[in-house]
Amino acid sequence: MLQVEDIHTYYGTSYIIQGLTLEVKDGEVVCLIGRNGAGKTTTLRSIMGLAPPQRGLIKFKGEEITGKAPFSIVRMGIGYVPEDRRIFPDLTARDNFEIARRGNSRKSSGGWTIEKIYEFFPKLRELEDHKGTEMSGGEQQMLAIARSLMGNPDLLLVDEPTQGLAPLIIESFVELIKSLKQEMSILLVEQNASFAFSVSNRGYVIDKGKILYHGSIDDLRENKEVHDRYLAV
Amino acid sequence: MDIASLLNCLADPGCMAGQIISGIIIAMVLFLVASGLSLILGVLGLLNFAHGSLYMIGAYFTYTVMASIGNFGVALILAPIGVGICGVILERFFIKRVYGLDALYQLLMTYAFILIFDDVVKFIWGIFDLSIRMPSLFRRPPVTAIGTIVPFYYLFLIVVGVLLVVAIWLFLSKTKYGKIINAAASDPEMLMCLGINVPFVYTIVFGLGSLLAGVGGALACPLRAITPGMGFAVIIESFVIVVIGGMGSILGTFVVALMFGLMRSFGILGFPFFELAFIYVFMAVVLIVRPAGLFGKVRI
Amino acid sequence: MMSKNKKEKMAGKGLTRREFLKASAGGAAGVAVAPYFAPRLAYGQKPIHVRCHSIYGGKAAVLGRSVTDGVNMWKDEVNRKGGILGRHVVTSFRDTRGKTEEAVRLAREAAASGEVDLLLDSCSSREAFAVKEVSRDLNFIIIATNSKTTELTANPKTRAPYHFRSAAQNLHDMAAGAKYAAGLAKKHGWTKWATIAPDYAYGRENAMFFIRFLKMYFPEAEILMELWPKLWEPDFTPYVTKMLGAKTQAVFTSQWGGDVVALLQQGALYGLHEKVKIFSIDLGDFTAINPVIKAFGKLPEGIYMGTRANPLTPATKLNRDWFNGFKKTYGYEPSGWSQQAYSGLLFYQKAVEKAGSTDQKAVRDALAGLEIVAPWGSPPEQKLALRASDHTNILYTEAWGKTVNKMPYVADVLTLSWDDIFKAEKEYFKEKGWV
Repeated sequence: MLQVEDIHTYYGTSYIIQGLTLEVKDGEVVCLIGRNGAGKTTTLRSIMGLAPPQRGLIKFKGEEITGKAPFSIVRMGIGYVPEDRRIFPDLTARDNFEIARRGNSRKSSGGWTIEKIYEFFPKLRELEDHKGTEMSGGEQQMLAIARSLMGNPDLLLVDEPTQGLAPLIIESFVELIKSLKQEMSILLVEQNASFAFSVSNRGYVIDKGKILYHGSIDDLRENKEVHDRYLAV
Repeated sequence: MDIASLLNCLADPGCMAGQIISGIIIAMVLFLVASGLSLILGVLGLLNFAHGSLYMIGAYFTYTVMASIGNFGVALILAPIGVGICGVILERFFIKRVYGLDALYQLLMTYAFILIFDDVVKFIWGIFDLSIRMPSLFRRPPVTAIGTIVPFYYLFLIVVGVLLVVAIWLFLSKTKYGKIINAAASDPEMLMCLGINVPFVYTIVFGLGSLLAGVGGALACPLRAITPGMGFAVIIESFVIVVIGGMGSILGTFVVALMFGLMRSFGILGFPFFELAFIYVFMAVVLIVRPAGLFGKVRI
Repeated sequence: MMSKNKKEKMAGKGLTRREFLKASAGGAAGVAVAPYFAPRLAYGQKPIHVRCHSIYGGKAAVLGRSVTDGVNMWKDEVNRKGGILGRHVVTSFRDTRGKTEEAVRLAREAAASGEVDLLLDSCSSREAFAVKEVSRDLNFIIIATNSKTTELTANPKTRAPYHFRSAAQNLHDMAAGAKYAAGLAKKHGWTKWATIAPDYAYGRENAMFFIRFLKMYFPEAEILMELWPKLWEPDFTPYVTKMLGAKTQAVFTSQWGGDVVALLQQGALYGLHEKVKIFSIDLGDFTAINPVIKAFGKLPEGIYMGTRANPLTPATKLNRDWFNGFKKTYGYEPSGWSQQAYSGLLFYQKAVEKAGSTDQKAVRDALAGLEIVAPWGSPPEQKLALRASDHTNILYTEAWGKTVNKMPYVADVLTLSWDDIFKAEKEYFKEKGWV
């Protein structure tokens, strides 16, 4: 589904991603964990074309997407839920869905409609006339995910969905990710490793812009260093 | 100072109505120019000093259509579309390069285009002042109401102005494209991540803003001489209106254009020597009390 | 070089290549090339170089163009007749862009170059005062051809020995205009007056003079209001409604160019020129008449206007030929600006002939008090003079008339007497302590 091969990304003069390689296969949920400033968000931004890598190769469904404009990458089937949600303040939930709705040429059947979104997120039906600024953090996060689904992604990039949310709400997000998994692959960036591990098939550990370690969730759980760094409180 | 004539007028409904109409008329053309400016400033964050030049080109296009076809209705449609196309070309090739850059670069580039457009206009239409006749439809005696007279063309201007403010407002707040424009103003990057071709949206917005300036230029044609540099006379006032109204706010632009027109028409009665100063004092006060403008939102 | 070329192209739109080369004689190119195109002129003699500074951009572009063609017309006539003192004339043009600093810088450059014999300052009053100081500083002859502000030459404290004015003057224009207006007002009982003038030096000064002289000639006149739209004001409607609301009987205006067009266009919607007698000093210029005709389909009749650069003011063959010659050569009617630049050059030509050289001091001495015959000199002798005491142009035709919709668009022309103008001027100078 997604192959990232040895990418190098700079922000101005700072060298953020220093030769990163990762892969997401069909139907997988893969998590990318690491500390603050390790390069997690920049990795997603590199994939999205928001911070195009200076070197390296990104392939999506076998096609190279490095250097493409973000909107074309989205149209090829990648959805992006950014850190801090970035809800448009003046638009209602429904407006958000309307502007994000894309034709569904890639999939032969199904595809996301506003109605399907409301079945999936009943809460958002109640909030459809509310503006983004009038929602709680959990509701905003739901909206951000739902909005990206309107583009009918085959791969969803989700950046720290649990940040700032109450434990009870995080719990519900576990279920959410698990059910989304039926429809698409997911690359999940998290600092909350226990949440990440509970929903993922595989995981990567990133530090200083490089992949430090990767393996199955069980491998990661058993790795002492990972345990000490990311799971120990 | 001529306070007496201001007071006399306030006591006389006919005079009041007359000055109110004058104020509204000032507001209408100004609103059309300023609304495009506001849209471009609000959505693209671009200080477009060349906006007045687009108004000028709208007037020259109207002149050409009137000279060749002679139908004002056709001119009123063709000229703004022509200006919109000019705007699209301008944006595609030049303006898009200065988005997000320091205001100084934007000023430099758009100021350069004021000079370029003035030269182009001189090259094509010559340097002498031009004018068109009041379209025959409007060459009829003015309407008399509330003790004052209202020229027929002014009624038309008011109707067009009000229709356009409603249309722009409906477009921006009710249609999908309006919502996309709204989203582009607050977070273009996120919008791009929803699969929207934001550079294309920018081009369209710039074209629309230009088109509005073109409508202003076309409607002003029967009232003003068409001259190189005529855009300069409206650009400063348009900026003042956008700043007071709150950039990106069409309603704010409309309300403040009306306030501006009325302040002028009554200012001319009472303080003919410094009626303009009032407006700048007003702007200063608004900026101190509400830096985002009367109808503007503070963006973080 | 690039920017210079560009300016000259702007200056002389429609020039042929040959004319362009001649016009660009500021550099060596023109000096070297010109003899080939003017074979009747003496070889080996240095040409007389006239530099002209004007404004070629924005709304004032029409000013620069009509000045330039006034200069070109004179140059071609002179060269056709063998030049001055056997020396041919070359011209060059610079764009001050209406900026005082630029005007001063260019004037200094021209005066110091050693190449330029005469500088025409054909910008506005704003630049003229500063450029006059360059003349004083470098003892270099500069003739102001556009600035009508009286104080430029009238105040003895600021006179500069090498500085002259070939422009008309607000004081003279208004003494004449007010006399004309007062005569009609007295006859018809128009006592309720308004003035509307652009809010800068030119407008302020002539409105002030108009009111002063109107009251002098017709003390019953009451000024209901003084209106001051800014220069290039787009909206005249509130001024119109204010005038009409106050039952104004007559209005004086010194709006010019596009402004007088807009005033009449917007006024017409309220029937302004039918309800109020309009006295416009600048409508008479063809730069305003032409767009007004286009705006109305004809020239609205019955408006009183000052007329300059018109074949009827004065109605002499000399003036008619000049007007028609200009129109034929350049394809449009001359403006007052063309005429005033041409006046300055006629003075200079005569002064050089009289002095027998282009030496600055000798020419200056010849210019002071010089009398010439010019197309718009007061008939019957058609004399024009540069008064020795204040270096300003006098005796030009001061005429007003009523608009008619037929070329040359003016009827019932009344030429005002310079005796009256001098009388009014003297009284004003006395009051100012300028005698």
